[in-house]
Amino acid sequence: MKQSKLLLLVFLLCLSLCIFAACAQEETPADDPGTEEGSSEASGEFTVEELLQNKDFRLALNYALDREEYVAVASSGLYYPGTRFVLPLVAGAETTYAEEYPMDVYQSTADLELAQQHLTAAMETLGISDPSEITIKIKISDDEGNRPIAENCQDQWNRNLGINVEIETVTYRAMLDDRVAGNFELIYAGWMPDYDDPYTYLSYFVSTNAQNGGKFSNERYDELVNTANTYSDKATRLAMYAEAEQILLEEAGIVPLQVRQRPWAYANNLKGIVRYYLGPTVDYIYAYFDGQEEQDLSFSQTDIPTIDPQLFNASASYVAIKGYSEGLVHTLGAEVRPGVAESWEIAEDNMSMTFHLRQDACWSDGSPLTANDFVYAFRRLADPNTAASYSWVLSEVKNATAVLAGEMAVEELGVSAPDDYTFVIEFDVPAPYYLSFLDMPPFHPVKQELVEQYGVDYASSADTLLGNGPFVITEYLVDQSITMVPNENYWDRESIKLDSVTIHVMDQDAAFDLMRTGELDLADIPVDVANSYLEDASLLPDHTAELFMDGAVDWFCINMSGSTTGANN
Amino acid sequence: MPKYILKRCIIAVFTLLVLITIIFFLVRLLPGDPFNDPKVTDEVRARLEAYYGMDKPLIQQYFAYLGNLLKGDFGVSLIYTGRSVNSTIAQTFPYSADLGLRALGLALVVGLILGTLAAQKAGRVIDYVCVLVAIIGVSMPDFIIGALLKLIFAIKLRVLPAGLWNGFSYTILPVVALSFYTLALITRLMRSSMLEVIHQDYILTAKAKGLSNFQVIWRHQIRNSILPIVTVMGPLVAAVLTGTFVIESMYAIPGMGKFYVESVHDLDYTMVLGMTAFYGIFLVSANLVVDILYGIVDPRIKLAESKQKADDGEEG
Repeated sequence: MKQSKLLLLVFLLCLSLCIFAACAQEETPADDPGTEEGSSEASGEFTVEELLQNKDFRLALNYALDREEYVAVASSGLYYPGTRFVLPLVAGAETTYAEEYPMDVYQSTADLELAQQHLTAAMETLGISDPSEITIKIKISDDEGNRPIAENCQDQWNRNLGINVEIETVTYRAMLDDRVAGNFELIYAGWMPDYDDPYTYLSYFVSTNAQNGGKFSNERYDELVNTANTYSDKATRLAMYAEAEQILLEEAGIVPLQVRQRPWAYANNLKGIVRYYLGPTVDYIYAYFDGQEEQDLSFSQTDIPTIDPQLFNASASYVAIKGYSEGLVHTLGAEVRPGVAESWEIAEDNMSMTFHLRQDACWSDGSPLTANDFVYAFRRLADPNTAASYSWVLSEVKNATAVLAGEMAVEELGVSAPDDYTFVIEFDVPAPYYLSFLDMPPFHPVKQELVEQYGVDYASSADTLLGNGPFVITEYLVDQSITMVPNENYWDRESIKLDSVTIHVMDQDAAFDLMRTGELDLADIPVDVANSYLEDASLLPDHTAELFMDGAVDWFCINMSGSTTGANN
Repeated sequence: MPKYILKRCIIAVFTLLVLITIIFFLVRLLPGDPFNDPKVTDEVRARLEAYYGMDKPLIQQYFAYLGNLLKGDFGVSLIYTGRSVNSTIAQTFPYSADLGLRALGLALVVGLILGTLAAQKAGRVIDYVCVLVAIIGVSMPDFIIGALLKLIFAIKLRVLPAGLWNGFSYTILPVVALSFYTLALITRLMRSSMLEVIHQDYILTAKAKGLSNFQVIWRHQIRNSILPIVTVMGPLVAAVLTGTFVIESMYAIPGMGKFYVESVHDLDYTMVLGMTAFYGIFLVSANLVVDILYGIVDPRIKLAESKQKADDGEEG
């Protein structure tokens, strides 16, 4: 009896402790802002907030970095030193944006003289006599790979400028919150593009963007980025974006770090695999094996959370969904090809797009696919009851914000089907870049009848879904593998050469080993060993090792809001 | 005995309740939240929180969770959209259990044999070999053994597959890698426990009775020295059967292991809770079985039990 009372007491104690701790945590962010931070930094007359708001100091940070050095240290030279913000691959009017608009604000090597000049100017303005009085803090997430970069920057800034740098590590999820809240001095940031246009990067630093936690703010920048979309001429738009990017760099709104490249290898006779920064990370639709009867492709992804197009929330799902499903357009590398839509028109003011669907488009069971299926899919995505985490892709679509908030009926969403083979998207803001976006799974059609029939079980197995893509799923073992064979009803059936595609779900290292033993046809190479395979072809005699840019650019976000505790956000 | 079992059951349920409560609140203390993707807008995030009932007060969510748990419903994953924790466990547990059972079987058979052999031949070469195996097994983590086995047999010699789970040949490397630690543990335990038994008077008596050497070992020595093994079996069964992150990801086995690790990283609250509760249920019931097994393996425990019962009777 005594024993059970004691146990009960212990239980209640634990319970109350947990509740207390949970409640306490919810309240902490509201605690007195900034006092602690201010006092610890204000050894001289200045505060770290003033320092970060000083343009000369930010420029000094940028010029003092030898970007080739940390790329060599942190990623064994696999990554590209980042000297600007927009990914170099983004399409220009003719070639690429980077080629058409070169920028030389920062070099990949350090310019110590310039760095010193700017540091001296900053110290004069703020009345600092010695650089060692300065201490700044870099916040990074605990993900592997970030730390070597932060440590090298710490070392370089200390060596080249004589300032002190501290590194603070938080969990990835906490870092995301801190970044938006402005709870940092310098914080590690990265961005994956959504569509083939500089806007996907540059919109990040518009002063009204919630993501812009460091509060970079420049009137001219805002004006350029916000109005460029109203021009239908691409060259005009790109010139405006280039001017905006130049401002961001000259104002030192960020410290560009690197452009990521991903090492991978594939069987020597495997052709036609496209790996590009947009679209699925592996595009295998037109792949084939050269000089070989057997046309069975097998590779892996680390995780496929769902294959329901509208519930899509991870890039690995893209790879699987793109096989059995097709959107209005079909991106293949930098090229936007016709998908279900044969042709399209973009309105002169960029406020709407009209798609003409092919008459022979059909679902894999042979039933006709019409513009109404797209209307249903778009509405399903916007419906608050679907709770789609990727519903943000609709942001520009007319009335989408109100529909998502549940203030307007889904029927009010700016998509319509004037007839069975015409589909129209209207926008709230000009969105000329939207076209290449439409290859993404959330925009793919789904058949209303089946979604309503299966409810939450839709797309949970091969029997509870219907697609219209180049392949059909014959077996779907959740979290294990997906097997597909060509869709005989696909409009472009003759271009499909593979007889089967199997996508396994497994860890990246395991996949690399299975590729080496021949069970998989392609795999990413683990970054830490990639260099030896890239340099020495004899290590992988049956495979070809390559690098591709996956679109990720990394930078340090600088907090210019005047508060490093998030009080100003 | 029934009263004893009932008492153990009540304590087991209580232990689970404490476990779930602590995890429920602790996981919420982790910084960040599952929906804070840089691309997800605040409006969408608020909608998602409302959809999953996370906008309600924490204590209300707690009781709602307990209510669902009573119905056997672990909830819906926050990251794997449209998938329930129950179905994830149902899909992945068979693979983990298959791998675990094979590894456990191998470890038990080989471990008991090695342990017995070492004790019988104490101080001789066989003993040293067995002890060496045990020391290697205990001190080398599974990711090293797993990687070495894979490098030698799958990548260099190409005699066994490097991963996946498609038949017997696929099971060999992961099972050996996973069983190594357990095997070593059992060997060491068995050896030391048997060495104690060997010098007991009743062994001498048994030998004096003229029993064969085999009979002495089988009926008197093994039976009396196996108790420590039964004790460690409870936690071992739970740990091995519910999936191991390292071996499963190394050999591309679609088991439960990765969900333990990734759900914490992703802050998939319901998945963390579901996995912990499932593991907890397993651990607690394995211990319960062990408690009951004691009585069968060692009659002295049953005796103590019935003696206590008699005492209780007197009191009443």
